[in-house]
Amino acid sequence: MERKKFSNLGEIKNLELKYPKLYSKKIFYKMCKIRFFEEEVKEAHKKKLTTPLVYLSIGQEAVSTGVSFQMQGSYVLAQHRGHGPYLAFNGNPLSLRDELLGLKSGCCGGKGGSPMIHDIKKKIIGHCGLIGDQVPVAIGLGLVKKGKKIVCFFGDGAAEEDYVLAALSYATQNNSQILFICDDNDLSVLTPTKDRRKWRLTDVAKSFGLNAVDITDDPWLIDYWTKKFKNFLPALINIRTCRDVWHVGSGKDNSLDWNRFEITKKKLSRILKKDEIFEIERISKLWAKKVWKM
Amino acid sequence: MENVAEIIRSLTKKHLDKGSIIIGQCLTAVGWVQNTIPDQKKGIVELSMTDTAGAGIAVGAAIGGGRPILVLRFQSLLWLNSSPIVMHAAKCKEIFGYSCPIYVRAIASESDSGQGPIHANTYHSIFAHMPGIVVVCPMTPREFKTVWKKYLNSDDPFLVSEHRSSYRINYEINDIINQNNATTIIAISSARLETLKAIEILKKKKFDVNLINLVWIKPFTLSKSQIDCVKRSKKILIVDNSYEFCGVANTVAQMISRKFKCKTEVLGLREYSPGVAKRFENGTPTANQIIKKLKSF
Repeated sequence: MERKKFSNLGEIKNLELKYPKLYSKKIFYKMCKIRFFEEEVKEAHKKKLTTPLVYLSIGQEAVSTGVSFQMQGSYVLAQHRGHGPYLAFNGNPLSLRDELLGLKSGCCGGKGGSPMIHDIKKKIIGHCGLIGDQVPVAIGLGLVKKGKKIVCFFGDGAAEEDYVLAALSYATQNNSQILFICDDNDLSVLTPTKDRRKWRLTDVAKSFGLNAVDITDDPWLIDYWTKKFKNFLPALINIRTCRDVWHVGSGKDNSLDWNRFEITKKKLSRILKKDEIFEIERISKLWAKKVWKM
Repeated sequence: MENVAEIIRSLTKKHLDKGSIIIGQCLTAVGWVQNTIPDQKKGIVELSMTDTAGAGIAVGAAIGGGRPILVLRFQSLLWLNSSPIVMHAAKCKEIFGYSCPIYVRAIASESDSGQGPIHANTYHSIFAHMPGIVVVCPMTPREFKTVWKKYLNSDDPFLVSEHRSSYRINYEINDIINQNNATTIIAISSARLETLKAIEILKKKKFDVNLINLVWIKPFTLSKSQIDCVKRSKKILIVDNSYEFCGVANTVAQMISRKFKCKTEVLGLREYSPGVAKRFENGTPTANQIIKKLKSF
């Protein structure tokens, strides 16, 4: 498919080899934690244990992981598909689990469910459920949290909301210390980008005066650009990615255009021994199972 | 005594000088929003011309603890600004457990000012429909001060339905409650001014009517003396400057008639969009219309 060309967009050859071994281990560990946590959510959803609307990001773990190391301690605003950013920025997994189960002990007391999660103690702000709403909210937060960095995630569909574009334009006017991350799977539900617009988000962002780059979802590459941009905000990274599950729920239609998780493992095999990679996966699976043991 | 515009300006100045912000479009342009914005740079955030994003920015500032004032120069802009206010700010406390205290100054203007179908009318009713937001319609200096004080001590978002006709008011409008009167008018926002005129006309005709000034729409609040007055009244007319259907006046009428078993009627805007030509005006019910309604009731 045409979309496959994005699997190596902007790649820097052998970038992973330039990273310390421990750093790469941490990247993979975080990807695994998000992935296996969501695998547990998927199973719980299939068994109808969770609330009905569950927005999974299996296949897209590298996006929030790649941003998280350089931006740790920042305010985080994600949208309805927020499990990845929540876990990548150390949101409480038990509160997330309980929210997905609709329990009082959930981060929204069981009222918000998957699309509205937050952990205010960890500076992870809740989402109201309307796509892109968090982008202007992030700008406003920046107005009163002077000098604090903010990460704001949104999708390629949300990028088309008029208020998102208007907010991006205001970010430069206001010199907002925000890193915008567009989690771009080239689909709005199932409608491809080419059927929705003729423009590229990075072109628009650059014309507004933001630093911007369009790359694939390689976690080292994301970390590289995050590090590059974090002191030159506002900036936007459009990250091409693909998801293994439906827009909402736990179903699956087609095979992935590319499997970032497997590609990451392959790249890791140049850095780590096979056993080490296996061990990280094993530990993460155990952690996720423990969280979901009810 | 200071008028309402001066009160708003001085309260705003104090707020800004303490480090808070006021957000809006063209705040420092012609007239400084009917002279309600302090002439200073500190704390004034000029938005680009983006309404939905603008409200979102104000909501973000509120989540961050900035207690922002969001100024909408016309209530018609509420339609564009409503999403972040009702879908985010109003839900914050209930869903997320943290607060989003934003003070929205939504300014209504009268139909007879040539605003026609664009900037005329008042839309507080649709906001009162949503949970999680305080809706209030102050008209006098003391009422504005009270609302502001309550906002500062509250963690709720406030939708303050202001009316341009209040800005020059430098006096208080007190309730008129007489035990012997069988008829009471409950008036909201700019309808209070026309109701006062109607009461004066009726008084000359030896027909005394009670007046209850309704400021707190949501939560709907009546004082003890107002409740006693309602209980004693045989007929109650609720006059509002927004549309009747699904409007605040109808809701108040229904609540009162159900609770106190009295006869109620409502008077609001007529069911059409106002036009710019005089014959198409659809403004706050006039004193004559109020009297006519009372007679038919």
